[in-house]
Amino acid sequence: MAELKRVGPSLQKSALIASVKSIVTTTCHEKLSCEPALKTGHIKWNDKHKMIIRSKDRGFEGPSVVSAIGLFLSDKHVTKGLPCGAVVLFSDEYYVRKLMSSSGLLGGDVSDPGVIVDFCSELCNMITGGLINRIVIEGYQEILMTAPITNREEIPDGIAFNPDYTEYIEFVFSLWDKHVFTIVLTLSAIFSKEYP
Amino acid sequence: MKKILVVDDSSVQRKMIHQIIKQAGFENDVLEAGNGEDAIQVLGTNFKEVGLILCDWHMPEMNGVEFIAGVAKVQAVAEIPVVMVTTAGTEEKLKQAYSVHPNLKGYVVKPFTSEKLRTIIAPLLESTS
Repeated sequence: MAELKRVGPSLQKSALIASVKSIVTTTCHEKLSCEPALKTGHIKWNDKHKMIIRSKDRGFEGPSVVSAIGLFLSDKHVTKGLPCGAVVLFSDEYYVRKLMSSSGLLGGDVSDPGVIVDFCSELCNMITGGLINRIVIEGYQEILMTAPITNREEIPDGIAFNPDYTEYIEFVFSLWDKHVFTIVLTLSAIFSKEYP
Repeated sequence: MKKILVVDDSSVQRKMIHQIIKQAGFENDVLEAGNGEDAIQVLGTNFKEVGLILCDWHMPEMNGVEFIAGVAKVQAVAEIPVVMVTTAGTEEKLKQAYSVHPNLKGYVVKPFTSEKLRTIIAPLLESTS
């Protein structure tokens, strides 16, 4: 029988960090300066009960891009608007451009503002996909991810989360000894795999 | 020379795949589509020229697996080799993709190295040229 089970914080942390490292090295040919700084906290929400997403709250003072993906247990939960979590990527625009250049696959397009937004969406998409793939290997059922919502500085409407679970883990990643991006992950219980 | 159809909702990912194809020395023209519905439109007018389809899974309107399931049912395009290029890397997803399209020739999980994609598409392009 499948049962709803919390994904332990250590698995959440190791899966997300492994996903980020894989993308940074494989796609961008770079290395993190050090292991990410981690902290936990409680979600702050707006009047629509959605997570407030502002890059200035995460230590980004200059131009930045924010991308958010909702996580759901099933199509039924998507229809009802009941998420089991969210992944939010806050990126420093200057260093994301540098990261895009490092990939060597985008030519002169790195200064195009639209390309930066699309790159952050794809980065958030790949990070979340890698996170889910790693959690599934550890005995959980696959969860669904929405298409990324990406914007500059903030996502005005915020993003939905599970109101019964308000904890998050924050990961601060550095490259070239600079704060390049921060990821916020919130994930409530998800289904374990069914065993006979 | 046959064309390559890249189906992905991310324009950045489409550009990256296009660049990998060019850097690998393939001179095939690349057609692009942002989701399964767009890809059907592109195939509708170009199906005789397309020799390879590279397809993402998670896309709006019509996702990649719905698209390749449709492709597998149409005789005129069912033989075009298809490679999935996606973040959906679980065993269940892989089985689902192969079950809807028996002619699926590869399954590449993002992030991937240029070398990995080259290794998979090179023999497919050589066989269709």
